Amino acid sequence: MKKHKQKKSWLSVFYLLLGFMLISFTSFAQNVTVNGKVTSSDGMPLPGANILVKGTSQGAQTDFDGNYSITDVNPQATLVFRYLGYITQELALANRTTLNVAMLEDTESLDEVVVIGYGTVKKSDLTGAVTSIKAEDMNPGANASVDQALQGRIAGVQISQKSNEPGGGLSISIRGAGSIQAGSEPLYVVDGVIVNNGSVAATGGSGFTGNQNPRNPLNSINPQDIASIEVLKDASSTAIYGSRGSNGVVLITTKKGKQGKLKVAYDYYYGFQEVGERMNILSPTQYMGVLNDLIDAGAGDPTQKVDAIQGNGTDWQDQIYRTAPIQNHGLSFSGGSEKLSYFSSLNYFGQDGLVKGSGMQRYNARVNINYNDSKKLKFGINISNSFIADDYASTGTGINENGGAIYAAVNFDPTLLPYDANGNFTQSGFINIDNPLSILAGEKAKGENFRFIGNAFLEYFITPELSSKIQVGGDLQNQRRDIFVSPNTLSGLGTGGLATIQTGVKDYVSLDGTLSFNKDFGNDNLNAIAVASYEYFQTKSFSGNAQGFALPDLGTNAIGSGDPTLNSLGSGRTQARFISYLGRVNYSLNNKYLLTASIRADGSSRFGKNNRFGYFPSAAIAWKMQEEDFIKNIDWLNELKVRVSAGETGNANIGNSLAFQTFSAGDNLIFGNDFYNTIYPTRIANPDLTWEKAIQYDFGVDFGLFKNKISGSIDYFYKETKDLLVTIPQPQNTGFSGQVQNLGGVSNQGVELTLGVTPIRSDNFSWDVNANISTLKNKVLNIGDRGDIIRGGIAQIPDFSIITPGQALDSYYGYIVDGIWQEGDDFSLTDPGVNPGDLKFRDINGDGTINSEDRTIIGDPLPDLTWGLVNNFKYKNLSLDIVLQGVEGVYKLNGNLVNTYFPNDFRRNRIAEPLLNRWTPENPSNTYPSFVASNPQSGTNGLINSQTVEDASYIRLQSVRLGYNVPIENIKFLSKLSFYLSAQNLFTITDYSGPDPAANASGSNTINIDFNAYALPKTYLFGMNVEF
Amino acid sequence: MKKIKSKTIIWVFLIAISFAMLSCENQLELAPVDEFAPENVLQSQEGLESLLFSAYSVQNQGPRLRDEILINEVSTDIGFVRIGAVLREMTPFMDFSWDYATAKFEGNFWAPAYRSIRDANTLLDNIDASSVDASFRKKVIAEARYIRAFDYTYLYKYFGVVPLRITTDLSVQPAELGLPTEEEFRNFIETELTEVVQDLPNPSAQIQVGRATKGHAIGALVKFYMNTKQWSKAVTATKDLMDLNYYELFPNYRATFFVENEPQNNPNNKEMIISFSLINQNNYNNNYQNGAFPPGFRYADNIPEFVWDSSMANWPTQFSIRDGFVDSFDPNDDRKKAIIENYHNASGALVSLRTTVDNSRNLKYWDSDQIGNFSGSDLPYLRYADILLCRAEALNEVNGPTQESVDLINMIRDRANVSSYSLTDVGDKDNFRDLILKERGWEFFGEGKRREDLIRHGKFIQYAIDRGLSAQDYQNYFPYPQSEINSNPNLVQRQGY
Repeated sequence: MKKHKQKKSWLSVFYLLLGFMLISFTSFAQNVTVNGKVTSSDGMPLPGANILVKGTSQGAQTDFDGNYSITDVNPQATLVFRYLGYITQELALANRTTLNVAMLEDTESLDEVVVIGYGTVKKSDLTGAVTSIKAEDMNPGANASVDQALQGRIAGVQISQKSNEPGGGLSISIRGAGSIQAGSEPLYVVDGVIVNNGSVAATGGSGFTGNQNPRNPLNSINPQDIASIEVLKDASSTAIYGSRGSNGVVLITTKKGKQGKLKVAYDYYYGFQEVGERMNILSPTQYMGVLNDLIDAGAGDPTQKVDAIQGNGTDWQDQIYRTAPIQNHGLSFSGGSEKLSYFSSLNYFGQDGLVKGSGMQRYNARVNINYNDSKKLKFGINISNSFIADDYASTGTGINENGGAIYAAVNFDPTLLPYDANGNFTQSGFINIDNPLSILAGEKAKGENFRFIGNAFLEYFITPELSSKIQVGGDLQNQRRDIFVSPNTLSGLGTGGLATIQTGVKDYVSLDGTLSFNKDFGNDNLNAIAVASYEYFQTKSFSGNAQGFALPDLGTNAIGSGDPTLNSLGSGRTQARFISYLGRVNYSLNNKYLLTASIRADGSSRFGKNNRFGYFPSAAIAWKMQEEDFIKNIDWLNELKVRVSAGETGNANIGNSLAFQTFSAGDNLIFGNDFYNTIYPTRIANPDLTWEKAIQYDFGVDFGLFKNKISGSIDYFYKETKDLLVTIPQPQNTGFSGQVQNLGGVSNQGVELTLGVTPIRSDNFSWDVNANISTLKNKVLNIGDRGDIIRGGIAQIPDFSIITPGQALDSYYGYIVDGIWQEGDDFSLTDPGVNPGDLKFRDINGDGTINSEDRTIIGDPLPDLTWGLVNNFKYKNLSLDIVLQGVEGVYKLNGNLVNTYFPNDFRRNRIAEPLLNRWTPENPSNTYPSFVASNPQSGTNGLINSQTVEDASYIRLQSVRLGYNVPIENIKFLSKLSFYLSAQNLFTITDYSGPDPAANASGSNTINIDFNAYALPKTYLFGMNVEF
Repeated sequence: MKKIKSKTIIWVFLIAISFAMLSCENQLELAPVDEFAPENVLQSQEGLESLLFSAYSVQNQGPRLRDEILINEVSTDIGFVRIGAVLREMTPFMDFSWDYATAKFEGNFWAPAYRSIRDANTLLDNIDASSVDASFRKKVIAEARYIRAFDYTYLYKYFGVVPLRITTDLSVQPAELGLPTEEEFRNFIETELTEVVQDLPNPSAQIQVGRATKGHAIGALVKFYMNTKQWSKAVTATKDLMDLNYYELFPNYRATFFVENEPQNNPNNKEMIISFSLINQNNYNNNYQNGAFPPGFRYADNIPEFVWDSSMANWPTQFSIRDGFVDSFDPNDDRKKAIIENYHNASGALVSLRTTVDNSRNLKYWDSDQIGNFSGSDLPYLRYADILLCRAEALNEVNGPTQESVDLINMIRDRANVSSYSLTDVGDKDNFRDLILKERGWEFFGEGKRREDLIRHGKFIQYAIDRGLSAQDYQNYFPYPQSEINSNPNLVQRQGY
C-alpha cells in the first residue's frame, strides 16, 4: 500500500513536469473539450468530485455516474481532481480529450489521520505510542466482537478469549497488568464518547452454575460498522483520559458516509464450527481397566469396582457438543453530498454454540449523519442500537451436583448409556454429578441485552482558527436474564423448579464542552484544546427467585406461580459522577520538532472526601529526523522519528462506595422458623481513597526504509503503578478483615516491535508481512507490610495465586514436584504415610515434613512474550491472508488436571494420559503418580503443584482467508463483488494438556485457572461482499 | 445576520453549560444509595435491633456447621472422613498437622466470632446516644453483652485467650490489640455473663427460639467454668440454671434431634438451652448429613422415621465414625441407634459399612424434607443433658463421687435405656471422671464437643499419640490466624506454632 502511494506521487510529479514541458512547447494549440469519468480505485463512480483546470478558475463537478465534461480547455493544461477522503491528483492532459481517473483512497499514508483522545492528528505528527488499525486490517472470519478481530494485531496488547462460548468474555491487557483489585481492562471510547462497559446482570442464577466470565460487553458493537481502532498505549496519549487512562485506551471510530451517490453494500457469510480439541479422557474400556486396577492397588473401595460397560458406553463430550452454524448478514447504505454525509447499517449475526443449547444472536442498527461545512460549522449524530439474545448452556464453575454440562461430560461415568430402560436420563450410583444430557435439557438461561450508544455534537468556528464544540453522549444498557432449572435435574430435584429473573440497567451520560485552536505560524503549527466534561454513571439491578412450582411448565414466564413463601428478591443501585477539566497543546516547530503537553483534572464522587480531585499531566517530544537535510539525502531512509514521552494516568475503577461509612443489609437471622432482617457495618470507610496512579515513560522510534518497503516502530516502556487499591488486612479483632487502601505498586516494562515488510510487489502479485512482538516483565513492587496476598480459589481448588514483592502479579504458589517416590527411596526423609508411587514434593526448608512452608512460586500467568504474524498475498484477483498468533513464557493452573489427580469421587472419569502411564511397581514412572493416594501430602494446598500448573505457551493459526474479487467491469449495476473462504483456529501448537491454553475460568485477567473450558471452535466460513 | 445570531446562541449555550458544570461540583458528594446511613441505623429501635440480629446471625454457622462438627471430632477418637475435597480440608485435623496456613481457623472461628463481637460492640457504643425507650435499651444491652461474652467463650475453646475487644472505638482500643491476661479474660466473661442474667428474660418467656434468655447466659458461663476448670463455680452455676425450673430432658434420646421436636415445633422439648435454628433453605441449612449418607443410601433400619427422597444430596465425601467408638457403646444403648452400621442402597440391598474400617455413620441429623443440600436439623449447641453431666463432673472434681453426681449421670443413662450406676460402680474420683468422659462421648457425639471434652480431661493429645500421630501439647489450642498475626504486631503467635 505504502509503496503504491509513493509510486503514485512520483507519477504525479512526473506528469506534472511533463505537463509543464508540454505547455511550454505547445502553447499555441487549440482549446478542446475534455470528458471523462472519475471512479474510486475499485471502479465505483464518484459523483460530485471536483475537477479544476490548474491555474484557472475553470472547472466542473462529476455527475451522478461520475462523468464530467469541461469545455474550452487548453490541451496542455493540467487537471486537478479532488474528492473528499481521496488523494488529490494532478494530471496533465497532454492533448488527450478523454481522461478517466481512478482516485486512490487516502489511507495508510504518512499523512493518514489518526484519532487520538479528544481530537485527531496526522500520523506523521504523532508524539505518543498509538497503534491504529483500519477496518481492512482486522482479523478475517467470524468475529462476534471487535476485540476478537484485533487478536495478534497490536504490539503490547494481549487479547485472549477467556471463554469460547459464543460471545464469551475476553481479556484485554494493554502493556501488562498494573492493578490488583481494580481491574486491567482498558477504557473504551466510541466516536469520542466514553462507554460504560461491563456487564449488568449477574452470571449465575439459583441452582444454575455460575460462570465467572460475563459475556463480552463489546458484543453490542457490530465489528462491520467500525472504520478504525486506535489503541493508546503511552502516557502522553492516555493522560488526556486522566483517572481512567492507566490501563490504556481503545478508541473505536465508526464508519462515516463518503461524498458520492448512494452506496449499498451487503456482506454475508455462513459457516460452521466444529470442536477443535476436547478433553482427552479415559474411554469406557480404559476407565474400567484403570479404575479396577486402582482398586486392586488399594485406591478405592472394592464395592466401587466397575462391573460392566453398558453397550459401548458413552462418549459424553460427543453427547454435549455439536457442529454448529454461524452466519452474518450486513446491509449498509452510505453516501453524501459535499457537506452532508450519512452511513447507516443493519446487521444480523447468529452463532450457535458448540455446546448444545448455547448461542447468541445479535441485531444491530446504526445511523451516522455528519455535516461538515469546513471551518464554519460541523455537526453530527451517531446512533447505534443493538439487541443481543444469548442462550447460555450451563458451563460454569459449579461442582458436584451443581456442575455444568462440560464438567459433567468430563467427569461422568463413561460406562453408562445416556438413557435407562424407561427413557430417563441415567444416573450414577457412585458419582454425585448429574447426567450431562439432563443438565443440558433441564438448565436453561437466556439473556437479552439492549444497548444504545450514541452521541451528538455541534462545532462552531468562531474564527477559522478557533472553534467551540458541545457534545452529548450516552450509553444505555438494559439487560434481562431468565434462568430456569427444571426439577428433573439433580440441582433442581425436589425444588419444584428454580426460576430466576435478573434485570439490570446501566446508564451513562456525558456532556463535553470543547474549545479548539489551530493555527499555522509559517512552518510552525499550534493546536490546542480545552475541555470541560461532566459524566454520570448509574447501575440498577433487580433479581427475583422462585421455586416450588406445582407445574414447572411456565418457568420465568409466570414466576409468580411458584411457592410464594420461598420467593426471594434482591436489588441494588450505584451511581457515580465525574467532573473533569482538561487541556492539551500540540506544537510543531519547523515541521521537525513536535511537542505535546496535556493535563487533566478529574473529580469524582468515588474518591474520598479528602482527595476529591486528581491531576494527570503528560508531555512528549518527537523529532521528525527525515525532515532534516542530513537525512533527506539518504535514499533508503524515508522516515525516522524519535519519540519520548512521560506522564501520569490513573485507574478510577475503585467501586462507588468505599469511601463511605455505611450499614448494609446482611443475611437473614432465623429464630425458630422465622426470618429477621439484619444490618451490619459495611466497612471501615476510607475517606482518603483515591484513584490508582501510573507513571509511564515511553521511548520510541518510527521508521520507514527503502521507500517504506520496510516500516515499523520500536517502543520501550516502563510503567509503574502505585497507590494500588489493596484490601489491607486489618486485625480481625475489629470485626473487619480489611480496609481498602491505596498502597502498593506494580511495574510493567517491555519492548514492542511492529514491523511491516513488503517483500514483493508487482502488478499481479504482492506479498505483505506485518509482524509484531512484545515483551512484558511484570513485577509487584510493594503490597505493604501485612503479608502476601494469596487468592483465587474456586471450585474446591484452594487459593493458588500469590501477590508478593519481586514476583509477577498472581504468580502460582504451590509445591514443586521432584518426581515420584520410588521403591527403595529413603522414606524417613518425609512424613509418615508416604508410599512409593506418591508425588514427591520438594521439601524446600528441609525440615523432613511437607507443609505450608514448602510452597514457592511455580510460574506466572502473564506471558513474557506476545506476538502476531500476518501474511497477505495477492495474485491478480485472488488474495490470501494468514494470521498467526501466540504467547510464550506463560503458565496456567489446569483445574481438570487437579481433578484428575485428586478426584472428589473415586468413580469420576479423568484425563487419560497420566492414568494410562501411571506409576506401578512394574512401571516405575517418575512423571505420573500411582493415583492410589486420594489426597496429596500436605492436604488441600498440595493440589497446586508444578504438575498441575503447566506451561501454557502456544502458537495458533488464528485465521486464514482466501478471497476472490470478481472482475465486474461489464456488470454495470455492481461496483464490487467478492467471495471468500475463511477458517479460524485451524491448529494450536502447545504443550498444555487442556483443550485451550488461553481459557480462563476465574473471571479475572491476572488470576488464571482453566476449569472445564468450553472447546475452542474451528470455524469454516463462506462469505461474500457485494456493493451496488 | 444569521451568523451573528447563531454565534450568540452557541456562546450563551456554552457559558450556560460551563456554569451548570461548575455548580455540579458539589454533586461529587454522592453517598451510596443502596446502603444505610449510620445516623438512621443507630438512632432507631428497628435499626438497632437489626444490628443486634446481625450479631446473632453470625453466631449461627449454617452450612459451616459441618466443619465445626468435623474439626471437633476427626481430631478425636470419634470422627473420621474419607474421600474428596472435605477429606483434603480435614486431613490436617486428622493428622494433627494443622498450621497457621490451614484455612479454617480464620474463616470458621476467628472472623465470624469477631464480626459478631463487632456488631454487639457497635450497638453498645451507640445505643446511649439514641432515643430508644429504656426497657428496650436495657433488654438489648443485655443481649448484646451476652452475645459478645458468648463469642469470647467460643473463641476461647479454640484459641485460649484472644484480644478482648469491647469497643469499636479505635482511639480507646487500637486495632493492634494485644492479649489480656488469662485472669482478665476470665473476669470479663464471668462478670458479663453474670451481670446480664437479671436483664435477660426467663426461658419460658422467650417466644423467639434461639434468642437470649437467662438460660443462655448461665449455660454459656457453665461451659466456660468447666473448660477453665473452675469447678466450684461450675457447681454453683449449674444449680442456678437448674433453679430456673424450666429445662428438662426430652424423654426420647434420638427424637430430641428430630426436626418435628425442635423447640419451635414442639414446645415440650425443653432440653435445648442454646440452639441454632436451621431450615431446609440455602444458607440457613444443616448439611452434615450429606456427607454422612453412605453411597446410594436409601434407608437404614436404625432410622425408620427417615424417608429418602431423590432430591436429597449425597456427597462424595464420607463423614464416618471410628469403629472403636461405635464398639464402646452398650449394645442396648438407645443413643447408638443414631449411628448406622449398615443400610439399604438404591437396589434395596443391605450394605454393611463395617467391611471398611472406621466407616459407620452418624445420622443424628436428618430431615425428610431435605431439598438438595439443605436439611433443617438445628444444631443443639448446649443441651440440658450437658448441664447435668457438667454438674456431675464438677461435683466429682470438688468432692469426688457423690450420690448426687451419680444420680445426675443416671438421669442421662436412664433415658438411653442403659443400666444405672450405683455409687460403688463409679469407683474413685479418677475412675468416675473417666466414666463421665465416656458418657459424654456417647451422649454428645456429632455435636462438636469431643475436642473440648478431651482437652479438659487432658486426653486430646494422648489419644492422638495413641493413634500413632506425633501430637504436641501446644496443639490443645489452634494457632491464631496468620492474617491476624500479620496485621496485628501486638499479637504474638502461640508458643509452638
